[in-house]
Amino acid sequence: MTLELKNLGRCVRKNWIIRDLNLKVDHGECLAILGPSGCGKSSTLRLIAGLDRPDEGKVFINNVDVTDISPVKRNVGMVFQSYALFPHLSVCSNLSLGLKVRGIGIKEQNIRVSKILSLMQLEHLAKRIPAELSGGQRQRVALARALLREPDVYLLDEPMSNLDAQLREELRPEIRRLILNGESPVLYVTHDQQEAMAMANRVAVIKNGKLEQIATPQELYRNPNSIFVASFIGRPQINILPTIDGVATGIRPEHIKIVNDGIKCRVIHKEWLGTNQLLYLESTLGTLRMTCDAGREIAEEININWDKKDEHSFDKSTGHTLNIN
Amino acid sequence: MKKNNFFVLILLFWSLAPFFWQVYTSFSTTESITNPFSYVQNRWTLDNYIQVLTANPPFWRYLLNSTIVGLSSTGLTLLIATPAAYAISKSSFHVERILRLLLLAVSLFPYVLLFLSLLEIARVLGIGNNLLALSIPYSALSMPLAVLLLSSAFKDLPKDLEEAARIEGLNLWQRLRWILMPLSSPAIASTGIIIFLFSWNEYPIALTWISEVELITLPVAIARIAGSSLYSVPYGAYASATVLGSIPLIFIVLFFQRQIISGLTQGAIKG
Amino acid sequence: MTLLFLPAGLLIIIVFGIPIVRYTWLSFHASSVLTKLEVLPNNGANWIRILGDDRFWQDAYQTVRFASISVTIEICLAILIALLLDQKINNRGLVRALSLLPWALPTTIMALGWRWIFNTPYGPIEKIFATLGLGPLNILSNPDTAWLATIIADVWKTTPFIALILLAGLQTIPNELYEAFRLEGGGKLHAFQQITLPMLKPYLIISILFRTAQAFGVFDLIQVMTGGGPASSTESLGLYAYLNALRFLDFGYSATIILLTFIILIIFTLLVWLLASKANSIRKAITS
Repeated sequence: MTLELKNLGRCVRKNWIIRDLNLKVDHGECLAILGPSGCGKSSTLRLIAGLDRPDEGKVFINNVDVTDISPVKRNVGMVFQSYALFPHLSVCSNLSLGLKVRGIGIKEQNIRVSKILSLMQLEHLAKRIPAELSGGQRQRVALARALLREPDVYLLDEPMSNLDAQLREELRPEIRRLILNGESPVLYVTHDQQEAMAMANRVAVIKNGKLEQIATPQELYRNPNSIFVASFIGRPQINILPTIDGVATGIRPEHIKIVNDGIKCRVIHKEWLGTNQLLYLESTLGTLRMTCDAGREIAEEININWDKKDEHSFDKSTGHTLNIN
Repeated sequence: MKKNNFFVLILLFWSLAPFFWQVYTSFSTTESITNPFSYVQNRWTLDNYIQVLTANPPFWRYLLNSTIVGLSSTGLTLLIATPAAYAISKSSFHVERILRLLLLAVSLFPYVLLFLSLLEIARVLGIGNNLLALSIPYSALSMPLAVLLLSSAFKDLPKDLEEAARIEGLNLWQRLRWILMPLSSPAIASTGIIIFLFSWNEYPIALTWISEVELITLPVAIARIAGSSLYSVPYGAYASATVLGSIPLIFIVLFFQRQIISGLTQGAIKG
Repeated sequence: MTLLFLPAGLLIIIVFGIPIVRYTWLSFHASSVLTKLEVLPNNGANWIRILGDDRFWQDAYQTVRFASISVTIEICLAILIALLLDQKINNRGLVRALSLLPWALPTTIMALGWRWIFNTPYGPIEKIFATLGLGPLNILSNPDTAWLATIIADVWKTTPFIALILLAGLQTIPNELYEAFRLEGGGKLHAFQQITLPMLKPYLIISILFRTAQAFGVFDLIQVMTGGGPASSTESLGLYAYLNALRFLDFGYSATIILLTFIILIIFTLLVWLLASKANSIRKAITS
């Protein structure tokens, strides 16, 4: 199964929330759609699902043009940010409703539903209604509902954003196990870049409805093609140094090293990150962030430097990367 | 608190006393009717009720007729109003506002004025003296309110529920049947009861459409009983007819009071 | 999508629209059924007749009188009742349900009941006045007082309905508004004027418009309680139209009556609406 978007565009009240979107997702691939709030990620998903109609472009599922086909007939599985479980139905009925309307007999419904319940470890909750479930449990039911469809494409819209950090950590490998080993491509929308990097084969970075860059997480990290991507990917955020001759240089905090002789800085702030420290330095080049493992104190004076190889150069006016390291 | 309870008692007295006077009269002998406040030897009797219940046609016949009309009107109205309400709930802001305003304006109209033309239609189509046919005009009269109430209820449902249902493969009718209507059932119940009460209460159209004594509805039956003799004093029989006619409605009001009140309240707020 | 709306829309248009058209045609064409409903244009004979019809104009006056007085009393009482029901009282749900009873009972049923209550000489009203030493009132047989009795009956029936709507309105007013007002030193009556009434305005307007229109068409109550008498003193326009159609069998004239009633209703409703909208500015002018 493959998914392809060609020149996809959608305009709402004279605003283009998506424009010129071209994407291809392969057999079994997981593509994360990453970007700040309001950049058009969820809208893209809705266009693929068919909940909204594009004003430009086409959607192809398995090389079939589904642009004019209603979501009722497309075979997609979607997990909503709010999970959208049917509040008046039990977990069992939530799962079997889709099967029922497709004409699958009761016996077969029961078989499939029990299978998915045991797969997701939800058997003991079969008769409960959504209001009686915790956030994590509801999310698993929503996932189960999508899995049950055996869809051509999985669409996950910020599925973890309503869960606390610990739950997210626990559930990530679960989702990978369940969804990411099949034939159907998965589109995973998130604003959390760590999640995107952890879950996806490739990441598409979107800004204001346009695709900035699409590449593997490593590639995005090493070779961002614009200031935006470089700033979005990588925590702590990259340092952008003052522009010289229209060229802005970027250097990541983790690439800065403490040396005996180098750029003079003073520590003005520090944060404990668990494995190491994040230092905010005041220097002639402005405020810099760097990570290091030794315990440094505020008001300490240190010298820093970095490898020229690790620098990124950007054209300040366009924001694009100038050369490839 | 004491002051409030006092007013509550006055309110209850005002609301219920006229009715209780009917009850009192219905059990009174002719003698005591003429002397309601003084001491009378022979005060109580069931004769009034016997008279009304054994008349021809028996009184319960009228209650049955009204029930038939009430149920069929409610069913027909809900059947037609539900898709219309769905369509409105999915319309754009401006279209929806205009439609709601129109429906509101129509619902203000005193339907009594329609009796003449409806009477003609009934005669021309030959559907007079047909209890089920009566549900057609009743439906039309209840329709504006029903559509307004139901479309509000649909709009209150979270949008993504219906979207999830579409993705699950449910077409429009399946979505209505399995998701939208079950989740709106309180509003549907309220609307249904209000429609039912309206059909029981309606007089001018029932009066002009149905002339066969076997088929007349309750209000018409009472009016006939009332008009039968303006000058004698069979008020005992009148009273028992009144009480008997009221009993089903009292049950409905007490039993469904929550739904009725929420239906009217919602209508007021959204309207 | 529009297909979904079609049955409902069609039904409404047919049932509400066709009559208007038909009435217009009837008023300009028909004459009495007794003369075999001639389909001849009568050059507006019905309209000439109606303009000079004393009974029509008397009924119009009576109907307008009935509607205005009824609705005014109903609104005032309903406000009081709604305020009462908004308080914390024991068994509030039960009280609400019981006070709704008058509205739920069919008009004709209680019209008969009221006829009995006002009955001379056996009804409770007469009996009470008799024990007080006051002579027989003959309310229903006196053309000067019968209409008052009908108003009482109408107020009894419809006030609960309005009270319920106003109660819904009261419950949308957040408590904080009253608390803030009290902190500023405002008294209860003042609070009522400054907060309650303005916030209730939309509900009041809707209730007034709705009830006025309905009261204009009053039929059930009058026909059963007084039959339009005595001496047509309680007769309403609706009843007059009915009589012309079914007793005098003059469909054409009946249609004319209905149309003119409708026109008067629209004018009256517009007046009421203007008045209600202006009420605020008048009140402000008085209190400032």
